[in-house]
Amino acid sequence: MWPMPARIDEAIWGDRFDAWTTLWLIDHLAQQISALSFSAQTTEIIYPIGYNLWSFGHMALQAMGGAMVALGVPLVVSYNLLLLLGVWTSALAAHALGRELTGSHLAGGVAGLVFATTPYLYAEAGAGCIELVAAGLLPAHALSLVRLMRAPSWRRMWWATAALAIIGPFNWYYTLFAGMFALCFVVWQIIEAGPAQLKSPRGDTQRRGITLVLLSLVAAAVLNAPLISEARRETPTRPSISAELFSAERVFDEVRSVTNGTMPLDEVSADVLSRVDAMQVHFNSTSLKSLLEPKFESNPLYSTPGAFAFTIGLFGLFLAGRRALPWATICLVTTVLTLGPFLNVSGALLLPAASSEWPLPYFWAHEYLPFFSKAYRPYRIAVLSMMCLSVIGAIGAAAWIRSRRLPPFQPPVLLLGLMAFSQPHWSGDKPAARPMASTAVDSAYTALSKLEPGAVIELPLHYQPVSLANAKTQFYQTTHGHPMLNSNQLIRWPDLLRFKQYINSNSVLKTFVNLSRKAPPHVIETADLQDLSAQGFRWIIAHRLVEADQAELSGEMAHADLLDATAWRFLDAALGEPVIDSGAVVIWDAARAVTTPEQIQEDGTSITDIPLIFDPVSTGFPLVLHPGQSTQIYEGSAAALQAWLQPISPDAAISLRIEDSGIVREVPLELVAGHWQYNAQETGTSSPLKLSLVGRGEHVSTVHITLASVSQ
Amino acid sequence: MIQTRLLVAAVVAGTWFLVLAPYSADRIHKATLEGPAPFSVQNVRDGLAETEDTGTDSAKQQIHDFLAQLSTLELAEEERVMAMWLLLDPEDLTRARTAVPQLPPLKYAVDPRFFEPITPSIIRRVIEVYGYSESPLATATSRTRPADLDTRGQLMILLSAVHHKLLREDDAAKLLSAAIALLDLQMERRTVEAELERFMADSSTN
Repeated sequence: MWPMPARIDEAIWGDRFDAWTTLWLIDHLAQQISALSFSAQTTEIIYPIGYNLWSFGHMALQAMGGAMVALGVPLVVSYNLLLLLGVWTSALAAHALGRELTGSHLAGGVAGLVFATTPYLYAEAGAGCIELVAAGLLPAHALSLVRLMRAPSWRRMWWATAALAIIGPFNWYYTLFAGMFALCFVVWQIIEAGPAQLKSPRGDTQRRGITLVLLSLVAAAVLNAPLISEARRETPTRPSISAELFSAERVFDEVRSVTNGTMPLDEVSADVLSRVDAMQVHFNSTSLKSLLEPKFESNPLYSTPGAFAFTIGLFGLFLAGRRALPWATICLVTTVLTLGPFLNVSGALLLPAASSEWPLPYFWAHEYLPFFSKAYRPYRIAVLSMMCLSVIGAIGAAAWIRSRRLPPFQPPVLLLGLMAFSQPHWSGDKPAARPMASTAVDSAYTALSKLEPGAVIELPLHYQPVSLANAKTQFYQTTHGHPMLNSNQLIRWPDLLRFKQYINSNSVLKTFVNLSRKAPPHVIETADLQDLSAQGFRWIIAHRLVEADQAELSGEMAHADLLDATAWRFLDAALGEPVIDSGAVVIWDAARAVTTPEQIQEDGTSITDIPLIFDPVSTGFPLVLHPGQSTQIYEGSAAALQAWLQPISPDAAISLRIEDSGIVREVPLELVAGHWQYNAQETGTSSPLKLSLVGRGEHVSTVHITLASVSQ
Repeated sequence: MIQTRLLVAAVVAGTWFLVLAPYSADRIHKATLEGPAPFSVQNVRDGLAETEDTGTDSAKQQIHDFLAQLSTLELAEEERVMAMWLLLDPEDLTRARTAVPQLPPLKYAVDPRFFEPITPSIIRRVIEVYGYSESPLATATSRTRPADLDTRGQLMILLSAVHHKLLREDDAAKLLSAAIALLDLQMERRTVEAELERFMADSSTN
């Protein structure tokens, strides 16, 4: 994970919305620990509706981070330490399991390095799901079962119970997976002993072992019973799944418009959201192609145990022979389960119609096994395959170590370790090369933290974490400390429907939702603005500088964060002068907002869009200008030009040339590397003019430009 | 014995990971790219020519109108392609043609925003190599395409000429202008084709 340790206090390895949400959760729990005041319900996000922290489905690891922060460890450091801790505890637990099965530290080492260096773990780390990286509790639980079967005792039964019960608060997915493994383990023990031996006095130990394993499952279930209703918050009632649903283009488009936040909130209903939930099962299933080329993928949805783990498993199987067969069988079963309910050969987003004829085991388990629908992300079952492969590798390594005909095992294990841990640097997508995400926060948020209490609304308001910039707003709360309406946690349908109901009660909030991609007119009732103030809202935030998202290179999401000229004019009209303007962040005080007239409307009639061929959304073409080269973009009358610009080349510099009645002026446009910068440049004339963009860099200037317009 | 098993494991792993799995994954990838058979305007033309049942007289008239519109657009596109073609002298055309295999993969190979990938690739590459500068390009003086090339082949050679910087800067500005015009025509043709496809689907449903 280098260079993360070198930047442990300023950047994180992981930039999806989960990472920023996790940082927020650690900080929030740290505050509760410091104050010794614990409550699952909070109004710090989705204010004033509130949110139940159990809906996260995982809190124990974050609580450990919270304790670190409460003890004075910086927030970002504690997040990164938890990530490293997750990887190393996974390795140590797999090592312990391998050692228990083989009696060799060296063989256990093979298990540890196979388990902790899989693409699955790195992809989840890259996504910021640190609770999934901390997968060590699974081999720890398997270890407790193996020890219990070898020498059954009540003491070991309680260890197995504790190992299973403790997984729940860390991660409910893994509780289910551990239970699945335990059942496979019991079936294996019954088959291995055979009914005759189990009935005979010789089978006493096995009978007692199996009974105690089953008892440990029941005891863990009883211990976790009070939490089951809370766990259901994370995974509310799951809808039925079908191949027809996964093959329907209309449903796919509908689901996509919800997840990218373009579906009008009014149209988001329980029915639509049930289809969104159902489609998650398909989207989160591994394809046959991914299994055939088990690469190091950045996207966790395509991740697998990886070529290294499969190769070591294969070698282990050949070297260990029959001893590894039960583990290989469990590995095969769990790998088939990762394929999801229907076979998706190529990984196509829409399931080919032919697939519907061949439901896979996952389909029957999802439909008919209690609690199984909790595992609605099938690809994650790969963690069990990884565990089995690492054990097979350990058993094979032990066979090598015992053999007198093969050379010493130390050099191969060193080589394997080097190869395994260096994989992210050379294999597949080479995820180690991904830039780390800076955790720097604009000074405006520090200034906001010193202002009077009051809830925050970040604009544009989205009901899904549609972009990096949008997802980070929840993290910014760790600096400003005010409750906020925005949240990344509206991904679960009960919360989203409550949010929708609340938004629809106020014209201001309705207008704020998706303001960046909404066509004018923007209309609000000033009474609703006052109503928001009465409810405790105070600070309204918009951004002139927006961190560019790599995902935006596909084009369609680029506008999610960028407010156009009409939206800015509307905000100025409704909210008056900002109280903080750092250049990048603008903050208004709702208490100072206008009270008359009764209605404020901005229809954008005096603003004319400039359609440009070089636009990242419509064409994806960049604007490239050599030093001194210019291109005219507008001719007519204009009081100001507005546009969002993002530099692509490192030393890009662009000027706006204004030609008016024989007078030519040039004004440099603001560009910030890695960001979209809003430029609003007044022309200073009412005469007809020509506007051109001029390259003013020392070298070629490449920029993206979008939402260009002129206002009169 | 264990050495044999180690050897067998190496052979199986090598065969699987180095040969069978990549081959199968590649087959799957290629099959995915093929996709379903697209709607073909030529099929509609053939259907009309063979007096296939395409509905009522008014429906036939509407199809004729669509086809006439498409023909006009195709002719206009061909004219723009020829205008760009004539910007290059025969020597540069030969050099560009020879260098076509050295072109990188097309940037817009699977971009749903565009009708075909070469024209947007030409525009992007002109902008990247020469900077953004447009200048009008006059109507083509000749419409005679080389006998061994179709429009796609001509566009690939033009892309090669841009990529290998065989154009003068003022000609690049003209080429950019013509390529943008060509892209507009293609987008218009895509809209008309989509309308025709919808019309044919509605006609067959009714």
